[in-house]
Amino acid sequence: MTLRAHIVVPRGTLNLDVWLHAAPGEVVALLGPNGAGKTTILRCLAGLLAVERGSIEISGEVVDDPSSGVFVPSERRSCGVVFQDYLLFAHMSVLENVAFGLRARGVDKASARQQALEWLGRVGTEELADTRPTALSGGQAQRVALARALASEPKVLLLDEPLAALDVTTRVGVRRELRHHLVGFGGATVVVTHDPVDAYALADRVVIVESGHVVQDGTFVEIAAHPRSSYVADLVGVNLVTGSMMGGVFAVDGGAMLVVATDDIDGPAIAVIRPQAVSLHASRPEGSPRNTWKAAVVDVDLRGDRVRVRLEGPIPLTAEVTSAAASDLRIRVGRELWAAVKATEISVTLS
Amino acid sequence: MVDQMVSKATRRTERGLPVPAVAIALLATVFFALPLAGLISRAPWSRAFTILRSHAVLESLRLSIVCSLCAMALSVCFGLPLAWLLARRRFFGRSIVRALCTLSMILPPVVGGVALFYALGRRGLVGQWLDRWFDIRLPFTPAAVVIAQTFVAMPFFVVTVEAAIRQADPGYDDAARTLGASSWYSFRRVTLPAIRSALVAGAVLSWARAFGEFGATITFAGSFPGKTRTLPLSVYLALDVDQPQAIMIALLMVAVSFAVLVALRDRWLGALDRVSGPAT
Repeated sequence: MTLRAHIVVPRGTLNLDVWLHAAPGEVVALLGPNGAGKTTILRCLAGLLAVERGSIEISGEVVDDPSSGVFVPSERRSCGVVFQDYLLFAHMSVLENVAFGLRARGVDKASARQQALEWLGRVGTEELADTRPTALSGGQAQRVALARALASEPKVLLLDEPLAALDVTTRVGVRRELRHHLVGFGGATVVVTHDPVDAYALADRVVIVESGHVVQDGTFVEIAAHPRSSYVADLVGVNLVTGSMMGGVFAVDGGAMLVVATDDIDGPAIAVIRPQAVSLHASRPEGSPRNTWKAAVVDVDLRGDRVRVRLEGPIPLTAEVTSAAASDLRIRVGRELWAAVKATEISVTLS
Repeated sequence: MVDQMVSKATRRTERGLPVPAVAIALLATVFFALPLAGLISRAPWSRAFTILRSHAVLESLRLSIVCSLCAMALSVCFGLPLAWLLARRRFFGRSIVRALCTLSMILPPVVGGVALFYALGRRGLVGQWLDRWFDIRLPFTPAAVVIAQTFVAMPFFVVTVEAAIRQADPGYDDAARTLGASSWYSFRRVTLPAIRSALVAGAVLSWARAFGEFGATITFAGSFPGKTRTLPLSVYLALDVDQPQAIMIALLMVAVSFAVLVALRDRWLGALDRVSGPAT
């Protein structure tokens, strides 16, 4: 169930050349802006597009290798795909959609329907079995698409922007559920997304793709802490703090508290703080910021006229200040400072 | 609120409807209705029943229906793979192939009939071998009627269905393939249902063209009663000998064609201008 790929595809101005691997049970997020080549990578893995050079290997079997002339077409590749707009067949019921893969592989009608019903139950949409896809909400359609992809028990699961078509309110619930199903899937999973929060919440490992190349690879926390370029820093260099919302206060895992401007949610959540929103002070600041704490500098990273400062303290995070401010504050490793974040600069999303 | 705005907008556009356009459209409608009225006004209603029940007319009608249905079936069988190929596969000379396969739509049917004769006739390019090896002589047989009709009718099916396949999202085909469907299974279970209304529309159009076919039939199949004399040929021949009979047969054709078009109009032929993909 391991996935190993070296994909080289020239596409117009984009020269795609990426190495990728995913272990059984591992969820890898391909994170990058639109047009970086993420979907093309997914299409190559799924067998809908052949690589120009390189090779793709699923569970030790080579499925695409131009040098030896091997190309296993999509229908014999055992890749489950959840497409961006789900692509449910409108002329079939939800149940027939989920049974489609089994029927295509020659399973008889009765047992295909039985298995499809079980998969619908697993994603919690059993009662929608006879519904037409056009009548489904975005969240329901996503769950049905996932059940359809999983029903033929693929070795590899590929998801293309699985949350992009959902509105903000359903997104959180669907994301949590999706994570649950991905954890339960035994094969390798690749999720394409342009949203760092999705990558953080869904994936074990993140691969950053920029104009056709992998620019960094690691866990989200590693990458966020040590972005290798300002591009990556901008993309994932946000501080994601896990904790939970209780009565309008965000309780950080580990004990600290954050005052936030959101008070209508409760439960496990992620607080998103941009490094630019963290201000640093030589002495305890007085004024509007509601969150202040003492922090020690553990790392200083100069990027042009900006300095990224990694802080340790009750809430470890990264601050970004101008180089002028950094020299005024005499910032260096080991220096103790006060960090402050305004409550309105913290956005909280349920995890 | 939104409904109100929409109806307001509709009212506004209706109020703005230009009078000259309406007048010209009305004139066009009259242009189509007038010949029909001419036929009806001259119809020998007292003899109608006798004429329509005559052996010659019934024979013609039967031949017309059977041949046009055969031509429709052939158009669907051969036209569907052709339409799919033209819509979904890029190959060298595709535009030439498309032009070739739809040429008979704009070619005068008589020219088509002559061309068929030199291809499939007894001394034709292929016909001589059919005659020599298989003892098959096509001209002046019901088979020739079907061939002539298919030749002019199939493009209507191909053009309609190709447009529909072209507009259907190929992403559904991709989705089917990742689910393990062979391209044939995917075509049958995903592509075909998605273009169902265009299939019906194309089939009806090709049938209608075959049903009314005259020029290619008379040149390639001749006019033998009971064998190749379809309704349009009967009308043409009757014009010289028995005008009332010609009018009655013409009205019979009008009635059959009109009934089919009206019955299918909204449900299926409407699909011609809103060919849709599988999901919205």
